[in-house]
Amino acid sequence: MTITPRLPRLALAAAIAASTAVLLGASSRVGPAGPLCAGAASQRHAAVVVEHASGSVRTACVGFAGAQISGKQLLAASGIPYGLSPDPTQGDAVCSVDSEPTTYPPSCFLLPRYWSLWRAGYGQPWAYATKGIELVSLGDGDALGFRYVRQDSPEAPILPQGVCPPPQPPVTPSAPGAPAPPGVAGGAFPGGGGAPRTGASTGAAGLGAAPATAETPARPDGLQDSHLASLPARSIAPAPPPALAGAAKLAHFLRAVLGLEGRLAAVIAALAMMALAAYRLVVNRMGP
Amino acid sequence: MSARATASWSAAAMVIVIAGNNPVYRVLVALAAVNLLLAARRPGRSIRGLLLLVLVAGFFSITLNLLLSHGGTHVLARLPTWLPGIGGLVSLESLAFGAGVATGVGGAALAVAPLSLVLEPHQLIDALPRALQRTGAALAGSLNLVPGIATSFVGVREAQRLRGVSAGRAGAGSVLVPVLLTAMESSVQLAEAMEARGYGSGPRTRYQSEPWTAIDVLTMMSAALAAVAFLAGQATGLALDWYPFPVLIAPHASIPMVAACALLLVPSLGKNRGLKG
Repeated sequence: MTITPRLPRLALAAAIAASTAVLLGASSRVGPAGPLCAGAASQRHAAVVVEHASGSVRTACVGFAGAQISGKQLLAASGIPYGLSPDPTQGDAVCSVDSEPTTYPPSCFLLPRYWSLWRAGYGQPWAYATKGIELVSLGDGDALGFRYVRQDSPEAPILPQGVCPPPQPPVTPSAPGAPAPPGVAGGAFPGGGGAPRTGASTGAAGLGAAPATAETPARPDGLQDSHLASLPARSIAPAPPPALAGAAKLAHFLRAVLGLEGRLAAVIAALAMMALAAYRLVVNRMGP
Repeated sequence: MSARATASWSAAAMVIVIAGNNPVYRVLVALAAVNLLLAARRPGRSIRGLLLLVLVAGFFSITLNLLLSHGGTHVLARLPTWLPGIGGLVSLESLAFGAGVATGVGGAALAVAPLSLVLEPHQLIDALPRALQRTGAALAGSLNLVPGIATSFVGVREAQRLRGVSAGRAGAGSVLVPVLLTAMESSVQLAEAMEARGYGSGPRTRYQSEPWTAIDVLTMMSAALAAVAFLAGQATGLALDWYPFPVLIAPHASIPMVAACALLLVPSLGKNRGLKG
């Protein structure tokens, strides 16, 4: 009995040719861009410092209403483009900041380089964030730092000196109607004034001068992010404009689907190879 | 398939296996190697022994990592801590890590297997650069003597036992000395046989260079493309490594890297030269 191996061979050749075409035409994926915020009349400000692998630095000062703001909201409001990758176990991972890297896989935190996340209180050194960007809370004068580092050497970015004005003194309950002192962008940071070492500052950016709420309820687990529930609605959602938010969601969806497709392609390739091996075995046993 | 094309294929497969530690790509390389062995192995050569060896190595890798790695959050069992080395928790992450290492061992073994199961020894010698051909011939001749030495060892040991020589340390000399003398005699015989055939007396008078076929060219090109694409994927982050610690997640796979691994299947699509086994 003779089996003609031409047809399955041609089919496999076609599959390999198609996969080669895919290989050559790998598409690039770009992280969502954040909006440029207007206005700096907010009472509270927080700085964003982004230090790239090349050493170039980009900073932004974001004004916000309320007592605190989450790291994710701050980054979104800073106008610095960023990309996140949702992870079912660890929350959102910051994969791309300021278009570095331009493309990344869904599990970007396994790359040789990653965006290390830092938080600094006013006048204090950077502290490595042990929580995800959604759970990092920043108050007036605080700073959020990103530095693109290797997995084995997480170094802090430059200090956020002069990026934001100093924090406002606390408003006493006895004078609720007193006007708050105006915030001045570009003020000095304790421990040394002036601008950052390198990089281009984007200046101050605000979310609007919504009045701050009086008190922030404490979370049962001691974390400090439940104040978000007390923020005004327009401050709770400092998200990009609707079109950009839709694009970001689409990008995240495509990224997730592409990740699944990669695994699916691997399974299909493995099954095809096993089928070909079984076919070879059968042909070998039947003889020429 | 020519020796150089086969060597290129093996080199590309090894690059993919060694450059990263993602088990997805390693498994694909191993499957491509099995297909190549089934399609192009020499007549009479079986791959059963190799597959058995790979399975045993994988079993040991998984078992050792399971017992010696105590990290992870998905605890399968807890061994008493007074057990030296292996005491502690046995986790699913350790099992997964051992399986990942096993794919590396198996993939590497299968990647270089075509050099011995597809090619004739003289093809490998001929494929060497001219400066290395004599060294290669000497090495190949030495390696060919190994099975003879093993057979000689068994024969001498049995003969000494029949003569009443103990099998312990005291009788080792009475076995090793005859085996050594037999090996030297075999070497001298081999050298005389080679000399009688004119080895080393001048340029080869009967040398037929191996013809290049279309499948050889395709194999070399596809292997080079696969290796370069995988290294590029490593550099750009498309070919991600995989670690089950601290959180056990499924290994990532990207379509371009899967396609790069699938390119190694090209030589298997040629004419089937395999026989039963």
